[in-house]
Amino acid sequence: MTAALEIDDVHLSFGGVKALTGPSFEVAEGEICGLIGPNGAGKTTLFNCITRIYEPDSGSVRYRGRELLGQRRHLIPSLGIARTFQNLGLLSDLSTLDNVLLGATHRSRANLLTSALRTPGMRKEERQMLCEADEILARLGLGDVRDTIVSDVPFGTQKRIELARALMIKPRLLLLDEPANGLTHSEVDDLATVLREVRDEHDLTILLVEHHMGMVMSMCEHVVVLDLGAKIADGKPADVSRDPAVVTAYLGSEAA
Amino acid sequence: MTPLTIVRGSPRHRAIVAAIGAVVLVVLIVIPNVLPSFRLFQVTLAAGFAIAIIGLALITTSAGQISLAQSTFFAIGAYTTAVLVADHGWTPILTFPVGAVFAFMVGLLLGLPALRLKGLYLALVTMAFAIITVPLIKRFDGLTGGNMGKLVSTPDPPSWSGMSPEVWTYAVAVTVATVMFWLANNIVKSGVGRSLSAIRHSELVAETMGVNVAVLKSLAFATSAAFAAVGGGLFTMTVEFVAADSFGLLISIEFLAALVVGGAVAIPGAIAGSLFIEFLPAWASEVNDALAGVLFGSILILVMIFLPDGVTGFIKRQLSRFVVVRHPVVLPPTGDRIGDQGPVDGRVEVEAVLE
Ligand SMILES: Nc1ncnc2c1ncn2[C@@H]1O[C@H](COP(=O)(O)OP(=O)(O)OP(=O)(O)O)[C@@H](O)[C@H]1O
Ligand SMILES: [Mg+2]
Repeated sequence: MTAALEIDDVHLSFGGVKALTGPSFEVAEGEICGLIGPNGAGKTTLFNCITRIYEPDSGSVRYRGRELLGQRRHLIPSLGIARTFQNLGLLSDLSTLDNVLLGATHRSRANLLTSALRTPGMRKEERQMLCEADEILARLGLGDVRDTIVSDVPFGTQKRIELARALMIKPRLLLLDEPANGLTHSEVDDLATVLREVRDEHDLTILLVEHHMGMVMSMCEHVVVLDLGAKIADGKPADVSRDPAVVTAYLGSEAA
Repeated sequence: MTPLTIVRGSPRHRAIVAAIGAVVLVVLIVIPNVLPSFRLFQVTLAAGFAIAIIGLALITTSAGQISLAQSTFFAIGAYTTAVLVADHGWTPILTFPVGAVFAFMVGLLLGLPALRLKGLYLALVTMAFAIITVPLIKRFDGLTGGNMGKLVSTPDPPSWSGMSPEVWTYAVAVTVATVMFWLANNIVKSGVGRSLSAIRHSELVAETMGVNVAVLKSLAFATSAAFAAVGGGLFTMTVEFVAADSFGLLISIEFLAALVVGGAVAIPGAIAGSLFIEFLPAWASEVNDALAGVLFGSILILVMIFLPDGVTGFIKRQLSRFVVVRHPVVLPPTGDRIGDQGPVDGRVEVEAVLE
């Protein structure tokens, strides 16, 4: 199996805080890989390095063999990488639909001039995007909130809207930062099912940061554990959960 | 009460848009027939302001960038028209695109460094542009007429129109404004408009979603400059005179005030805002000179406190309790929803589902 994503000895510190101290691991093409660890382990920081929000001090991040460090941030979606944010990055005063459509930005051929003139090509593209957005909304059970302003829907639903927006990017690699946060038990199960289905349909590779251990253990084929910025375990879920280092790292933390 | 849902592009939506269009057209035709010529002059001026304001809305309301340089670009348009009409005998309407292109290029040039800054710093730098503008106009008084100003007598209306010069100028202004509003509205409603909103919300999220923030901000700034220039061109055509001191920082501030009062809904907001800055001070000062400033300031403060999204934002929110306009649901033919309207582009368009 070829690696979709290779994290190689990534270091990043903020002043005195060493957020990442050189974790290295690979995510294979097509797998759902869990990235877990106690609070402050550096999971979100690693996502931010992959999506070019943070500039690591050293190390390498490769996507399908291509170095990501040095890429411009807004070009990441066109490489086929999409993410969600732990604390939501939605446009709160726009509708669900508008938020999801934003995900199509990198595929749009529109510019200011063609938009101002509403050329036939523009209108056609608009219809096409609308159609895709509606498919994704239906897929994620968001049809009812399609035209609702995002700030008026519950937090758990907003997380799903962010997932919808990430899917609208049409990614090959999907980075999810705590998608189950704020969801009820049955919603978590639904989410797991949908994620597996879209992975199969679209040949996605998923890197999943999640504190919901039930979801991680049942969904992931591969789990990487971070603690204090370093990788402490990497393997099959069953092996990882028995790993003494992991047990120690989690001891006393809220993970169930 | 469930609001009535109207689907964009549906027959009902088209009928409503057509009806609103008809009412607006009637009003526009009635105006020159009922207003005294000085009031008509004010309405014509307001049309020019409204174009500059809608341009400002593109970067400020949409993308969240506060610019005080709109007076600079307004001046560029005004003087382009003044020079071409007075010195080279052009017809005013042909000068507007020239001013727009000129302002667009200057906008790009100024915007590239300025837009690296945000918030207050961008406001301050653009304020500096506005402050430099007036001395620059005076410096080139050979071309601009400087302090003394420049008379710009516009050609007589074509005889086929049968209109008086004032009515002709009004008709040209309203036509140009309509075209500019259409362009601005298309931008705001498009994917590019969405990207601008994303910039206002968070540049970081916008970039993560694939928006080339630096480029789009510069282009939007330059586009808004072009709108201001068209507004400035209309100003010259209407007043038939330009003088340096009419293009100071104060107009930029008035444009911002107009945005705040007019509010969040792009086109009606710009119209309401332009009428506000044109008519309120004029009316008030007919009563008492001091009243104009006091009233202007108080209304601005009251709007900011009680109507944070302006007059039109407030009206829109009230209306949305009764009527909601939304995009049509477009699903592949397999979609088994109610209300199929028949195939469109091999797909099935589904009308609103009223629940
Ligand atoms: N921008 C920043 N400035 C300073 N410190 C930061 C910054 N971002 C992250 N950190 C620090 O880096 C460390 C790792 O944080 P990170 O958010 O990556 O943890 P996490 O594994 O995502 O935790 P959680 O499960 O709580 O989300 C923490 O100590 C955090 O305080
Ligand atoms: Mg985190």
